[in-house]
Amino acid sequence: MRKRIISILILCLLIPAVVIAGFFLAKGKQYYLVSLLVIAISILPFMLSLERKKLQLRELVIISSVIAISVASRAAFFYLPNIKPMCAILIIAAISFGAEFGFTCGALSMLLSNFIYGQGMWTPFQMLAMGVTVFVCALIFRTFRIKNRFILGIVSGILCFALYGIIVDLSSVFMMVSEYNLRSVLSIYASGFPFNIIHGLTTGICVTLFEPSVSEKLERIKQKYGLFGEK
Amino acid sequence: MENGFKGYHPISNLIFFLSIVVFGMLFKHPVTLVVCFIAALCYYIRLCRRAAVKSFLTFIFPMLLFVLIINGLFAHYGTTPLLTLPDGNKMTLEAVVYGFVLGVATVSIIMWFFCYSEVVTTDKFMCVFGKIMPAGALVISMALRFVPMYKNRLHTIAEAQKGIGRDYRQGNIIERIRNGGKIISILITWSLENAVETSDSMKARGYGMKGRQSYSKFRMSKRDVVSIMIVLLLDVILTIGCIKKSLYCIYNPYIVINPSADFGKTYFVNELNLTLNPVSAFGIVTIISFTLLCFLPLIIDLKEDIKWNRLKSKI
Repeated sequence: MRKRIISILILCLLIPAVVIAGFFLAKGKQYYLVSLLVIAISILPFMLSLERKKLQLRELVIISSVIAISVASRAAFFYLPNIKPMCAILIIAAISFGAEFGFTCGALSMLLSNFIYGQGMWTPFQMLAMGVTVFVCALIFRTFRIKNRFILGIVSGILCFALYGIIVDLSSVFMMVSEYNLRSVLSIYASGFPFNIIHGLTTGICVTLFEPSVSEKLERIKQKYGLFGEK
Repeated sequence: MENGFKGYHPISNLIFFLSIVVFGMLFKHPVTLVVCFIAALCYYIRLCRRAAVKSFLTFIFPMLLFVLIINGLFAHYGTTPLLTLPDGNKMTLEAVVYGFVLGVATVSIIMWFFCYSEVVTTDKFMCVFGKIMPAGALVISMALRFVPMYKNRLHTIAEAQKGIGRDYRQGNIIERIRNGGKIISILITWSLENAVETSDSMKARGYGMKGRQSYSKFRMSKRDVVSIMIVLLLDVILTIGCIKKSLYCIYNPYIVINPSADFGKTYFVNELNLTLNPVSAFGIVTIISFTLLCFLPLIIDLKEDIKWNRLKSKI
Protein backbone atom coordinates (compact mmCIF):
# COMPACT_ATOMS: atom_id res chain seq x y z
CA MET A 1 0.00 0.00 0.00
CA ARG A 2 2.80 2.39 0.88
CA LYS A 3 4.46 1.69 -2.46
CA ARG A 4 1.25 2.57 -4.24
CA ILE A 5 0.97 5.88 -2.38
CA ILE A 6 4.55 6.73 -3.32
CA SER A 7 3.94 5.93 -6.98
CA ILE A 8 0.75 8.04 -7.00
CA LEU A 9 2.68 10.90 -5.39
CA ILE A 10 5.43 10.66 -8.00
CA LEU A 11 2.80 10.73 -10.74
CA CYS A 12 1.04 13.72 -9.18
CA LEU A 13 4.31 15.66 -8.92
CA LEU A 14 6.02 14.56 -12.13
CA ILE A 15 3.19 15.24 -14.57
CA PRO A 16 2.61 18.86 -13.54
CA ALA A 17 6.40 19.34 -13.45
CA VAL A 18 6.73 18.12 -17.03
CA VAL A 19 3.77 20.22 -18.16
CA ILE A 20 5.15 23.37 -16.52
CA ALA A 21 8.71 22.74 -17.73
CA GLY A 22 7.44 22.08 -21.25
CA PHE A 23 5.35 25.22 -21.13
CA PHE A 24 8.26 27.44 -20.14
CA LEU A 25 10.95 25.78 -22.26
CA ALA A 26 8.92 25.65 -25.45
CA LYS A 27 6.83 28.77 -24.68
CA GLY A 28 3.62 26.77 -24.98
CA LYS A 29 4.28 25.77 -28.58
CA GLN A 30 5.12 22.10 -28.24
CA TYR A 31 1.88 20.66 -26.88
CA TYR A 32 2.40 17.39 -28.68
CA LEU A 33 5.89 16.60 -27.37
CA VAL A 34 4.92 17.58 -23.83
CA SER A 35 1.82 15.41 -23.98
CA LEU A 36 3.92 12.48 -25.23
CA LEU A 37 6.19 12.85 -22.19
CA VAL A 38 3.18 12.98 -19.87
CA ILE A 39 1.79 9.81 -21.44
CA ALA A 40 5.14 8.02 -21.12
CA ILE A 41 5.32 8.95 -17.44
CA SER A 42 1.80 7.75 -16.77
CA ILE A 43 2.15 4.44 -18.60
CA LEU A 44 5.60 3.62 -17.24
CA PRO A 45 4.64 2.69 -13.64
CA PHE A 46 2.20 0.05 -14.88
CA MET A 47 4.78 -1.41 -17.27
CA LEU A 48 7.40 -1.42 -14.52
CA SER A 49 4.99 -3.16 -12.16
CA LEU A 50 4.91 -5.94 -14.73
CA GLU A 51 8.69 -6.28 -14.37
CA ARG A 52 9.13 -5.77 -10.67
CA LYS A 53 6.16 -7.48 -9.12
CA LYS A 54 7.53 -10.96 -9.82
CA LEU A 55 4.25 -12.06 -11.27
CA GLN A 56 3.78 -15.75 -11.62
CA LEU A 57 4.62 -17.03 -15.05
CA ARG A 58 1.02 -18.22 -15.29
CA GLU A 59 -0.24 -14.69 -14.80
CA LEU A 60 2.10 -13.30 -17.46
CA VAL A 61 0.89 -15.87 -19.95
CA ILE A 62 -2.76 -15.17 -19.03
CA ILE A 63 -2.10 -11.45 -19.65
CA SER A 64 -0.68 -12.11 -23.11
CA SER A 65 -3.51 -14.55 -23.83
CA VAL A 66 -6.19 -11.98 -22.91
CA ILE A 67 -4.43 -9.36 -25.05
CA ALA A 68 -4.32 -11.74 -28.00
CA ILE A 69 -7.99 -12.69 -27.56
CA SER A 70 -9.03 -9.04 -27.48
CA VAL A 71 -7.05 -8.30 -30.65
CA ALA A 72 -8.12 -11.43 -32.49
CA SER A 73 -11.77 -11.02 -31.46
CA ARG A 74 -12.24 -8.61 -34.33
CA ALA A 75 -12.20 -11.66 -36.60
CA ALA A 76 -15.36 -13.02 -34.93
CA PHE A 77 -17.23 -9.99 -36.30
CA PHE A 78 -15.83 -10.20 -39.77
CA TYR A 79 -19.23 -9.44 -41.29
CA LEU A 80 -19.90 -6.48 -38.97
CA PRO A 81 -16.80 -4.39 -39.63
CA ASN A 82 -17.79 -1.54 -37.31
CA ILE A 83 -17.85 -3.73 -34.23
CA LYS A 84 -14.58 -3.91 -32.33
CA PRO A 85 -15.24 -5.93 -29.19
CA MET A 86 -11.68 -5.31 -27.89
CA CYS A 87 -12.68 -2.77 -25.26
CA ALA A 88 -15.62 -4.89 -24.09
CA ILE A 89 -13.50 -8.02 -23.63
CA LEU A 90 -10.80 -6.10 -21.79
CA ILE A 91 -13.37 -4.52 -19.45
CA ILE A 92 -14.93 -7.89 -18.63
CA ALA A 93 -11.48 -9.41 -18.02
CA ALA A 94 -10.46 -6.48 -15.82
CA ILE A 95 -13.62 -6.85 -13.71
CA SER A 96 -12.49 -10.38 -12.87
CA PHE A 97 -8.71 -9.91 -12.73
CA GLY A 98 -8.30 -6.39 -11.32
CA ALA A 99 -8.09 -2.79 -12.47
CA GLU A 100 -4.28 -2.64 -12.76
CA PHE A 101 -4.37 -5.77 -14.88
CA GLY A 102 -6.88 -3.87 -17.02
CA PHE A 103 -4.60 -0.88 -17.53
CA THR A 104 -1.62 -3.04 -18.52
CA CYS A 105 -3.72 -5.16 -20.86
CA GLY A 106 -5.42 -2.15 -22.42
CA ALA A 107 -2.17 -0.31 -23.13
CA LEU A 108 -0.38 -3.41 -24.45
CA SER A 109 -3.27 -4.55 -26.62
CA MET A 110 -3.40 -1.18 -28.39
CA LEU A 111 0.36 -1.48 -28.98
CA LEU A 112 -0.13 -4.99 -30.32
CA SER A 113 -3.02 -4.13 -32.61
CA ASN A 114 -0.96 -1.24 -33.99
CA PHE A 115 1.79 -3.74 -34.83
CA ILE A 116 -0.79 -5.33 -37.12
CA TYR A 117 -2.63 -2.25 -38.42
CA GLY A 118 0.29 0.22 -38.48
CA GLN A 119 2.00 2.34 -35.83
CA GLY A 120 1.56 6.08 -35.80
CA MET A 121 1.86 9.10 -33.63
CA TRP A 122 -1.55 8.19 -32.25
CA THR A 123 -0.21 4.95 -30.69
CA PRO A 124 0.75 6.44 -27.27
CA PHE A 125 -2.60 8.23 -27.06
CA GLN A 126 -4.49 5.06 -27.92
CA MET A 127 -2.48 3.10 -25.35
CA LEU A 128 -3.23 5.61 -22.62
CA ALA A 129 -6.88 5.94 -23.66
CA MET A 130 -7.59 2.22 -23.68
CA GLY A 131 -5.67 1.70 -20.44
CA VAL A 132 -7.50 4.49 -18.64
CA THR A 133 -10.93 3.47 -19.95
CA VAL A 134 -10.56 -0.14 -18.87
CA PHE A 135 -8.96 0.90 -15.56
CA VAL A 136 -11.75 3.33 -14.66
CA CYS A 137 -14.51 0.90 -15.65
CA ALA A 138 -12.99 -1.94 -13.63
CA LEU A 139 -12.36 0.34 -10.65
CA ILE A 140 -16.00 1.52 -10.60
CA PHE A 141 -17.47 -1.94 -11.07
CA ARG A 142 -15.20 -3.62 -8.53
CA THR A 143 -15.56 -1.04 -5.76
CA PHE A 144 -19.35 -0.81 -6.04
CA ARG A 145 -19.71 -4.54 -6.77
CA ILE A 146 -22.07 -3.94 -9.67
CA LYS A 147 -23.38 -7.23 -11.03
CA ASN A 148 -26.31 -6.10 -13.19
CA ARG A 149 -25.24 -6.57 -16.81
CA PHE A 150 -27.36 -3.73 -18.17
CA ILE A 151 -25.80 -1.20 -15.79
CA LEU A 152 -22.38 -2.60 -16.70
CA GLY A 153 -23.15 -2.18 -20.38
CA ILE A 154 -24.51 1.36 -20.11
CA VAL A 155 -21.71 2.64 -17.86
CA SER A 156 -18.91 1.08 -19.89
CA GLY A 157 -20.46 2.28 -23.14
CA ILE A 158 -20.61 5.88 -21.88
CA LEU A 159 -17.10 5.76 -20.42
CA CYS A 160 -15.73 4.21 -23.60
CA PHE A 161 -17.36 6.91 -25.72
CA ALA A 162 -16.28 9.77 -23.46
CA LEU A 163 -12.83 8.80 -22.12
CA TYR A 164 -11.46 6.90 -25.10
CA GLY A 165 -12.85 9.39 -27.61
CA ILE A 166 -11.57 12.46 -25.78
CA ILE A 167 -8.06 11.12 -25.22
CA VAL A 168 -7.55 9.70 -28.72
CA ASP A 169 -8.88 12.79 -30.51
CA LEU A 170 -6.61 14.90 -28.34
CA SER A 171 -3.71 13.67 -30.48
CA SER A 172 -5.34 15.21 -33.58
CA VAL A 173 -6.06 18.41 -31.66
CA PHE A 174 -2.42 18.77 -30.61
CA MET A 175 -1.15 18.04 -34.09
CA MET A 176 -3.58 19.97 -36.24
CA VAL A 177 -4.89 23.01 -34.39
CA SER A 178 -2.86 26.20 -34.17
CA GLU A 179 -5.24 28.33 -32.13
CA TYR A 180 -6.98 26.65 -29.23
CA ASN A 181 -10.41 28.23 -29.45
CA LEU A 182 -13.65 26.38 -28.87
CA ARG A 183 -14.66 26.14 -32.50
CA SER A 184 -11.45 24.70 -33.92
CA VAL A 185 -11.21 22.09 -31.14
CA LEU A 186 -14.89 21.23 -31.52
CA SER A 187 -14.49 20.80 -35.28
CA ILE A 188 -11.85 18.12 -34.68
CA TYR A 189 -14.03 16.37 -32.12
CA ALA A 190 -17.02 16.60 -34.47
CA SER A 191 -15.06 14.82 -37.20
CA GLY A 192 -14.29 12.00 -34.77
CA PHE A 193 -17.79 11.91 -33.26
CA PRO A 194 -19.38 9.20 -35.49
CA PHE A 195 -16.53 6.76 -34.84
CA ASN A 196 -16.62 7.38 -31.11
CA ILE A 197 -20.38 7.02 -30.78
CA ILE A 198 -20.31 3.73 -32.72
CA HIS A 199 -17.39 2.52 -30.61
CA GLY A 200 -19.16 3.40 -27.36
CA LEU A 201 -22.46 1.90 -28.47
CA THR A 202 -20.98 -1.40 -29.63
CA THR A 203 -18.84 -1.67 -26.51
CA GLY A 204 -21.95 -1.22 -24.35
CA ILE A 205 -23.89 -3.83 -26.34
CA CYS A 206 -20.98 -6.28 -26.29
CA VAL A 207 -20.46 -5.93 -22.54
CA THR A 208 -24.17 -6.49 -21.91
CA LEU A 209 -24.34 -9.56 -24.14
CA PHE A 210 -21.02 -11.22 -23.28
CA GLU A 211 -20.65 -10.43 -19.59
CA PRO A 212 -22.44 -13.41 -17.96
CA SER A 213 -20.82 -16.24 -19.88
CA VAL A 214 -17.33 -14.76 -20.25
CA SER A 215 -16.88 -13.57 -16.67
CA GLU A 216 -18.07 -16.95 -15.37
CA LYS A 217 -15.26 -18.61 -17.29
CA LEU A 218 -12.66 -16.10 -16.16
CA GLU A 219 -13.70 -16.51 -12.52
CA ARG A 220 -13.38 -20.26 -12.87
CA ILE A 221 -9.85 -19.99 -14.26
CA LYS A 222 -8.94 -17.55 -11.51
CA GLN A 223 -10.15 -19.88 -8.77
CA LYS A 224 -8.79 -23.05 -10.30
CA TYR A 225 -5.21 -21.82 -10.63
CA GLY A 226 -5.19 -19.24 -7.83
CA LEU A 227 -4.33 -16.27 -10.05
CA PHE A 228 -4.33 -12.53 -9.36
CA GLY A 229 -4.61 -12.60 -5.60
CA GLU A 230 -7.10 -15.46 -5.44
CA LYS A 231 -6.15 -17.96 -2.73
CA MET B 1 18.66 -10.44 -45.71
CA GLU B 2 17.40 -6.89 -45.87
CA ASN B 3 19.46 -4.32 -47.69
CA GLY B 4 20.07 -0.62 -47.22
CA PHE B 5 19.06 1.21 -44.07
CA LYS B 6 16.48 -1.50 -43.39
CA GLY B 7 19.30 -3.99 -42.79
CA TYR B 8 20.97 -1.88 -40.11
CA HIS B 9 20.87 -2.68 -36.41
CA PRO B 10 17.52 -1.96 -34.65
CA ILE B 11 19.13 0.54 -32.26
CA SER B 12 20.47 2.52 -35.20
CA ASN B 13 17.01 2.53 -36.84
CA LEU B 14 15.20 3.50 -33.65
CA ILE B 15 17.59 6.36 -32.82
CA PHE B 16 17.16 7.73 -36.32
CA PHE B 17 13.37 7.67 -36.23
CA LEU B 18 13.25 9.10 -32.71
CA SER B 19 15.42 12.07 -33.67
CA ILE B 20 13.62 12.69 -36.95
CA VAL B 21 10.22 12.77 -35.24
CA VAL B 22 11.40 15.04 -32.40
CA PHE B 23 13.22 17.53 -34.63
CA GLY B 24 10.51 17.33 -37.28
CA MET B 25 8.11 18.60 -34.63
CA LEU B 26 10.46 21.18 -33.13
CA PHE B 27 11.49 23.04 -36.30
CA LYS B 28 8.87 25.22 -37.95
CA HIS B 29 11.19 26.92 -40.45
CA PRO B 30 9.88 26.77 -44.05
CA VAL B 31 13.12 25.30 -45.45
CA THR B 32 13.32 22.47 -42.90
CA LEU B 33 9.62 21.73 -43.39
CA VAL B 34 10.03 21.33 -47.13
CA VAL B 35 13.19 19.23 -46.68
CA CYS B 36 11.49 17.00 -44.10
CA PHE B 37 8.41 16.57 -46.32
CA ILE B 38 10.41 15.72 -49.46
CA ALA B 39 12.71 13.30 -47.64
CA ALA B 40 9.78 11.54 -45.98
CA LEU B 41 7.89 11.24 -49.25
CA CYS B 42 10.94 9.97 -51.18
CA TYR B 43 11.84 7.37 -48.57
CA TYR B 44 8.21 6.28 -48.22
CA ILE B 45 7.91 5.84 -52.00
CA ARG B 46 11.22 3.97 -52.07
CA LEU B 47 10.01 1.58 -49.36
CA CYS B 48 6.44 1.00 -50.49
CA ARG B 49 6.48 1.96 -54.19
CA ARG B 50 2.94 2.05 -55.58
CA ALA B 51 1.17 1.65 -52.23
CA ALA B 52 2.94 4.80 -51.04
CA VAL B 53 1.68 6.86 -53.97
CA LYS B 54 -1.84 5.53 -53.42
CA SER B 55 -1.84 6.34 -49.71
CA PHE B 56 -0.37 9.77 -50.45
CA LEU B 57 -3.26 10.59 -52.77
CA THR B 58 -6.06 9.05 -50.71
CA PHE B 59 -4.96 9.74 -47.13
CA ILE B 60 -2.04 12.14 -46.77
CA PHE B 61 -3.15 14.82 -49.20
CA PRO B 62 -6.76 15.04 -47.92
CA MET B 63 -5.37 15.29 -44.39
CA LEU B 64 -3.18 18.23 -45.40
CA LEU B 65 -6.25 19.94 -46.87
CA PHE B 66 -8.25 19.21 -43.70
CA VAL B 67 -5.65 20.85 -41.45
CA LEU B 68 -5.42 23.81 -43.81
CA ILE B 69 -9.20 24.31 -43.88
CA ILE B 70 -9.64 23.98 -40.10
CA ASN B 71 -6.92 26.52 -39.38
CA GLY B 72 -8.00 28.88 -42.14
CA LEU B 73 -11.63 28.90 -41.07
CA PHE B 74 -11.48 28.67 -37.28
CA ALA B 75 -8.28 30.46 -36.27
CA HIS B 76 -8.50 34.24 -36.32
CA TYR B 77 -5.20 35.48 -34.92
CA GLY B 78 -2.83 37.59 -36.97
CA THR B 79 -2.84 41.12 -38.28
CA THR B 80 -3.29 40.64 -42.03
CA PRO B 81 -6.91 40.00 -43.06
CA LEU B 82 -7.30 38.32 -46.43
CA LEU B 83 -11.08 38.18 -46.71
CA THR B 84 -14.16 38.28 -44.49
CA LEU B 85 -15.95 34.99 -43.82
CA PRO B 86 -19.79 34.78 -43.90
CA ASP B 87 -19.92 34.73 -40.07
CA GLY B 88 -18.14 38.08 -39.82
CA ASN B 89 -14.74 36.78 -38.75
CA LYS B 90 -11.71 37.49 -40.85
CA MET B 91 -9.55 34.91 -42.54
CA THR B 92 -5.96 35.98 -41.92
CA LEU B 93 -2.76 35.34 -43.84
CA GLU B 94 -0.99 34.24 -40.65
CA ALA B 95 -3.60 31.60 -39.83
CA VAL B 96 -3.54 30.21 -43.38
CA VAL B 97 0.27 30.12 -43.48
CA TYR B 98 0.55 28.55 -40.04
CA GLY B 99 -2.16 26.06 -40.98
CA PHE B 100 -0.04 25.10 -43.95
CA VAL B 101 3.06 24.82 -41.75
CA LEU B 102 1.23 22.60 -39.24
CA GLY B 103 -0.28 20.51 -42.00
CA VAL B 104 3.05 19.86 -43.72
CA ALA B 105 4.71 19.03 -40.39
CA THR B 106 1.91 16.64 -39.40
CA VAL B 107 1.84 14.91 -42.75
CA SER B 108 5.64 14.51 -42.85
CA ILE B 109 5.65 12.93 -39.42
CA ILE B 110 2.84 10.57 -40.40
CA MET B 111 4.86 9.53 -43.44
CA TRP B 112 7.93 8.99 -41.26
CA PHE B 113 5.78 6.71 -39.12
CA PHE B 114 4.73 4.76 -42.21
CA CYS B 115 8.44 4.35 -43.02
CA TYR B 116 9.03 3.32 -39.39
CA SER B 117 6.45 0.54 -39.73
CA GLU B 118 8.27 -0.73 -42.82
CA VAL B 119 11.81 -0.46 -41.43
CA VAL B 120 11.44 -1.34 -37.75
CA THR B 121 9.67 -4.66 -38.02
CA THR B 122 8.22 -6.35 -34.97
CA ASP B 123 11.27 -8.53 -34.32
CA LYS B 124 13.53 -5.46 -34.37
CA PHE B 125 11.27 -3.67 -31.91
CA MET B 126 11.21 -6.71 -29.65
CA CYS B 127 15.02 -6.94 -29.77
CA VAL B 128 15.39 -3.46 -28.28
CA PHE B 129 12.31 -3.60 -26.07
CA GLY B 130 13.31 -7.00 -24.65
CA LYS B 131 16.55 -5.60 -23.28
CA ILE B 132 14.72 -2.84 -21.40
CA MET B 133 11.68 -4.79 -20.22
CA PRO B 134 12.08 -8.58 -20.44
CA ALA B 135 8.68 -9.44 -18.95
CA GLY B 136 6.83 -6.94 -21.12
CA ALA B 137 8.65 -8.24 -24.19
CA LEU B 138 7.72 -11.81 -23.28
CA VAL B 139 4.05 -10.81 -22.95
CA ILE B 140 4.03 -9.01 -26.30
CA SER B 141 5.93 -11.63 -28.25
CA MET B 142 3.69 -14.41 -26.92
CA ALA B 143 0.62 -12.33 -27.76
CA LEU B 144 1.98 -11.76 -31.26
CA ARG B 145 2.14 -15.49 -31.80
CA PHE B 146 -1.27 -16.05 -30.18
CA VAL B 147 -3.11 -13.63 -32.48
CA PRO B 148 -2.89 -15.70 -35.70
CA MET B 149 -3.38 -18.90 -33.72
CA TYR B 150 -6.56 -17.56 -32.12
CA LYS B 151 -7.80 -16.30 -35.47
CA ASN B 152 -7.51 -19.85 -36.82
CA ARG B 153 -9.28 -21.19 -33.74
CA LEU B 154 -12.06 -18.60 -34.17
CA HIS B 155 -12.51 -19.81 -37.72
CA THR B 156 -12.64 -23.45 -36.59
CA ILE B 157 -15.21 -22.65 -33.91
CA ALA B 158 -17.28 -20.59 -36.34
CA GLU B 159 -17.37 -23.47 -38.84
CA ALA B 160 -18.61 -25.83 -36.14
CA GLN B 161 -21.21 -23.34 -34.92
CA LYS B 162 -22.43 -22.84 -38.47
CA GLY B 163 -23.71 -26.42 -38.43
CA ILE B 164 -26.19 -25.55 -35.66
CA GLY B 165 -27.15 -22.20 -37.18
CA ARG B 166 -25.09 -20.00 -34.87
CA ASP B 167 -22.50 -18.63 -37.23
CA TYR B 168 -21.58 -14.95 -37.23
CA ARG B 169 -23.07 -14.69 -40.71
CA GLN B 170 -26.56 -15.79 -39.65
CA GLY B 171 -29.45 -13.76 -38.24
CA ASN B 172 -30.03 -10.05 -37.67
CA ILE B 173 -27.50 -7.68 -36.13
CA ILE B 174 -28.19 -8.46 -32.45
CA GLU B 175 -28.18 -12.19 -33.17
CA ARG B 176 -24.91 -11.85 -35.07
CA ILE B 177 -23.34 -10.04 -32.13
CA ARG B 178 -24.68 -12.69 -29.76
CA ASN B 179 -23.30 -15.48 -31.95
CA GLY B 180 -19.97 -13.68 -32.16
CA GLY B 181 -19.94 -13.45 -28.37
CA LYS B 182 -20.64 -17.15 -28.09
CA ILE B 183 -17.72 -17.89 -30.43
CA ILE B 184 -15.41 -15.66 -28.37
CA SER B 185 -16.62 -17.29 -25.17
CA ILE B 186 -15.75 -20.71 -26.56
CA LEU B 187 -12.35 -19.38 -27.63
CA ILE B 188 -11.69 -18.14 -24.08
CA THR B 189 -12.44 -21.56 -22.59
CA TRP B 190 -10.20 -23.23 -25.12
CA SER B 191 -7.33 -20.76 -24.91
CA LEU B 192 -6.94 -19.79 -21.26
CA GLU B 193 -6.59 -23.37 -20.02
CA ASN B 194 -4.17 -23.94 -22.86
CA ALA B 195 -2.20 -20.85 -21.88
CA VAL B 196 -1.83 -22.06 -18.30
CA GLU B 197 -0.56 -25.39 -19.60
CA THR B 198 1.92 -23.55 -21.83
CA SER B 199 3.20 -21.60 -18.87
CA ASP B 200 3.60 -24.73 -16.76
CA SER B 201 5.54 -26.32 -19.58
CA MET B 202 7.74 -23.22 -19.85
CA LYS B 203 8.44 -23.36 -16.15
CA ALA B 204 9.32 -27.04 -16.38
CA ARG B 205 11.86 -26.18 -19.07
CA GLY B 206 13.51 -23.65 -16.84
CA TYR B 207 12.07 -20.26 -17.79
CA GLY B 208 13.20 -17.53 -15.39
CA MET B 209 16.14 -19.50 -13.97
CA LYS B 210 19.46 -17.84 -13.39
CA GLY B 211 22.10 -17.81 -16.11
CA ARG B 212 19.74 -18.07 -19.05
CA GLN B 213 20.30 -15.71 -21.95
CA SER B 214 18.10 -14.59 -24.79
CA TYR B 215 18.98 -15.02 -28.44
CA SER B 216 19.16 -12.04 -30.72
CA LYS B 217 19.73 -12.32 -34.42
CA PHE B 218 21.04 -8.77 -34.76
CA ARG B 219 24.75 -8.02 -34.43
CA MET B 220 26.21 -4.57 -33.99
CA SER B 221 28.77 -4.07 -36.74
CA LYS B 222 31.05 -1.19 -37.69
CA ARG B 223 28.62 0.49 -40.07
CA ASP B 224 25.88 0.46 -37.38
CA VAL B 225 28.21 2.17 -34.89
CA VAL B 226 29.19 4.72 -37.54
CA SER B 227 25.58 5.47 -38.43
CA ILE B 228 24.64 5.84 -34.75
CA MET B 229 27.56 8.22 -34.22
CA ILE B 230 26.53 10.31 -37.24
CA VAL B 231 22.92 10.56 -36.05
CA LEU B 232 24.00 11.49 -32.52
CA LEU B 233 26.42 14.14 -33.84
CA LEU B 234 23.65 15.65 -35.99
CA ASP B 235 21.35 15.54 -32.95
CA VAL B 236 23.85 17.54 -30.93
CA ILE B 237 24.16 20.20 -33.65
CA LEU B 238 20.38 20.40 -34.03
CA THR B 239 19.88 20.66 -30.25
CA ILE B 240 22.35 23.55 -30.12
CA GLY B 241 20.46 25.10 -33.02
CA CYS B 242 17.22 24.74 -31.07
CA ILE B 243 18.69 26.32 -27.94
CA LYS B 244 20.33 29.18 -29.85
CA LYS B 245 17.07 29.69 -31.79
CA SER B 246 19.02 29.88 -35.04
CA LEU B 247 15.94 28.85 -37.02
CA TYR B 248 13.58 31.10 -35.11
CA CYS B 249 10.27 31.77 -36.84
CA ILE B 250 7.00 33.22 -35.62
CA TYR B 251 3.65 33.18 -37.35
CA ASN B 252 1.61 35.09 -34.78
CA PRO B 253 0.75 38.01 -34.68
CA TYR B 254 2.79 38.56 -37.86
CA ILE B 255 5.22 36.43 -39.83
CA VAL B 256 8.94 36.68 -39.11
CA ILE B 257 11.30 34.19 -40.72
CA ASN B 258 14.80 33.80 -39.17
CA PRO B 259 16.03 35.74 -36.10
CA SER B 260 16.86 39.41 -36.56
CA ALA B 261 20.50 39.96 -37.51
CA ASP B 262 22.82 42.96 -37.82
CA PHE B 263 24.23 41.85 -41.17
CA GLY B 264 22.74 41.12 -44.57
CA LYS B 265 19.57 42.57 -46.00
CA THR B 266 16.20 42.30 -44.33
CA TYR B 267 13.16 42.19 -46.59
CA PHE B 268 9.84 43.65 -45.47
CA VAL B 269 6.59 43.18 -47.31
CA ASN B 270 4.43 45.84 -45.76
CA GLU B 271 1.08 44.81 -47.24
CA LEU B 272 1.47 41.31 -45.78
CA ASN B 273 3.28 42.28 -42.52
CA LEU B 274 6.02 39.87 -43.55
CA THR B 275 9.63 40.07 -42.36
CA LEU B 276 12.38 38.03 -43.97
CA ASN B 277 15.66 38.19 -42.05
CA PRO B 278 18.90 36.79 -43.49
CA VAL B 279 19.94 33.30 -42.40
CA SER B 280 22.71 33.32 -39.80
CA ALA B 281 25.84 31.21 -40.23
CA PHE B 282 24.76 28.72 -37.59
CA GLY B 283 21.33 28.70 -39.16
CA ILE B 284 22.89 27.40 -42.37
CA VAL B 285 24.78 24.73 -40.38
CA THR B 286 21.54 23.69 -38.70
CA ILE B 287 19.68 23.47 -42.01
CA ILE B 288 22.48 21.38 -43.57
CA SER B 289 22.55 19.01 -40.57
CA PHE B 290 18.79 18.64 -40.66
CA THR B 291 18.91 17.89 -44.40
CA LEU B 292 21.63 15.29 -43.82
CA LEU B 293 19.58 13.70 -41.03
CA CYS B 294 16.44 13.55 -43.19
CA PHE B 295 18.19 12.08 -46.19
CA LEU B 296 20.43 9.68 -44.22
CA PRO B 297 18.44 6.50 -44.99
CA LEU B 298 18.15 7.49 -48.67
CA ILE B 299 21.90 8.18 -48.85
CA ILE B 300 22.66 4.80 -47.30
CA ASP B 301 20.27 3.03 -49.66
CA LEU B 302 21.66 4.85 -52.68
CA LYS B 303 25.24 4.03 -51.68
CA GLU B 304 24.43 0.34 -51.46
CA ASP B 305 22.56 0.45 -54.76
CA ILE B 306 25.56 1.99 -56.50
CA LYS B 307 27.89 -0.54 -54.90
CA TRP B 308 25.64 -3.41 -55.96
CA ASN B 309 25.40 -2.19 -59.54
CA ARG B 310 29.15 -1.81 -59.78
CA LEU B 311 29.72 -5.34 -58.46
CA LYS B 312 27.04 -6.71 -60.75
CA SER B 313 28.68 -5.26 -63.86
CA LYS B 314 31.97 -6.89 -62.92
CA ILE B 315 30.53 -10.40 -62.80
